[in-house]
Amino acid sequence: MTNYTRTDSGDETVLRIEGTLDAATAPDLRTVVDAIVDEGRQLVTLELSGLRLIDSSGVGVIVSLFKRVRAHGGQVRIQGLRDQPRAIFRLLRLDRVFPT
Amino acid sequence: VVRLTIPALHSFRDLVLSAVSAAIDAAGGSPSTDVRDEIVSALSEAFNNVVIHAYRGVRGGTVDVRIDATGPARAGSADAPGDASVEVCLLDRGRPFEPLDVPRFVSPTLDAPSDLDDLDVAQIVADLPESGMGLFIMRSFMDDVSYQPGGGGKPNALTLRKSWRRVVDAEAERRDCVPQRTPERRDCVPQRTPERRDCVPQRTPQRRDCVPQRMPSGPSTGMESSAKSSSEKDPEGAVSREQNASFAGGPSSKKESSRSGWRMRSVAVPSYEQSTVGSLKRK
Repeated sequence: MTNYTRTDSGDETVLRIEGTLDAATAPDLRTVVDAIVDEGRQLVTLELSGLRLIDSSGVGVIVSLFKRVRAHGGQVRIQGLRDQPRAIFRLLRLDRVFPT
Repeated sequence: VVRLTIPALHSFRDLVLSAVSAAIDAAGGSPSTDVRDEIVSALSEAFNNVVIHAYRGVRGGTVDVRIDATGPARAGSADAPGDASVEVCLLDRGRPFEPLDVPRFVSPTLDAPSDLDDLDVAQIVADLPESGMGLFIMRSFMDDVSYQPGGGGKPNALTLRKSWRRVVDAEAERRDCVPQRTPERRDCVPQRTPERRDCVPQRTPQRRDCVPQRMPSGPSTGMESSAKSSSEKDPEGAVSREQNASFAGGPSSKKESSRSGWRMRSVAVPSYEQSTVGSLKRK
């Protein structure tokens, strides 16, 4: 079960992801990501303090968002990463390239 | 040994995770939060592997789950310190997968230094992989991952094993920790015991990045349980570097592969500084 809450404020979009981001729920997030990218949002903040679990499929969608926004000159930041999701990001060393 | 038979559906993954966690607790395993996170991460990927790959396009598939957790409770001495372990075997009757067909997970982040400039980041981001991480996560977070393809009436068997140093008194550990940058427990500097007092966080606030300041070695405490256990088993890093060079399936594991099955033992995580590995020695 995953909840997404998107809030646009000026140039910034805050996407709050809560629950589990896995192979079952990642396709839903990809739809949200596609919309953010298509609208050319330049500043995207992922608020992940409510994210309980992430797997490689979920990481893949976040990486996709990061690459696509940056390809258009934008920035993606991550806030609130903790527990199991943080362990995954640290393992993959994504914390080296994702501003947090 | 706990046995479950469940539908091969993502919605049943949490049942597996809960059962494994409960089995560990019942055996008195007392893993740290970090170890628990690593087990959860690896098992999630393993279960995904069965659901997505073994039963791709198949309805009604099932997974037999065998959980064997060991700890002092099973040994009859619940108060004794020492190691605990868990072995989880996922058995399915879907399509076997050929590990040699799985491309090696390569990410520029794994070798990236911590002080990247914008140009470095731009290049790394452009090369970031968006898939292929599952096996890498399993292998990195568990001590041993093996796969035996089925056939002739036998199921495919994916087995993951991990052992760790028990956190004997988690409450005491929490009391002993002083939060640093963030209020999370893993970001703490332990206070009471000499070994823990001698650890300070390095660049990142994770406990696994601690290095001892005064005591390069000593009796183990619950501190080490949060470190990558495979790193603990190869404190010098020499073995891992040799194996890294020869293993095509990933930089952190030793794989013995054949058509009849394969096994990989994690020996080090390349994503953490080798220089800190020796200080995380557990035994």
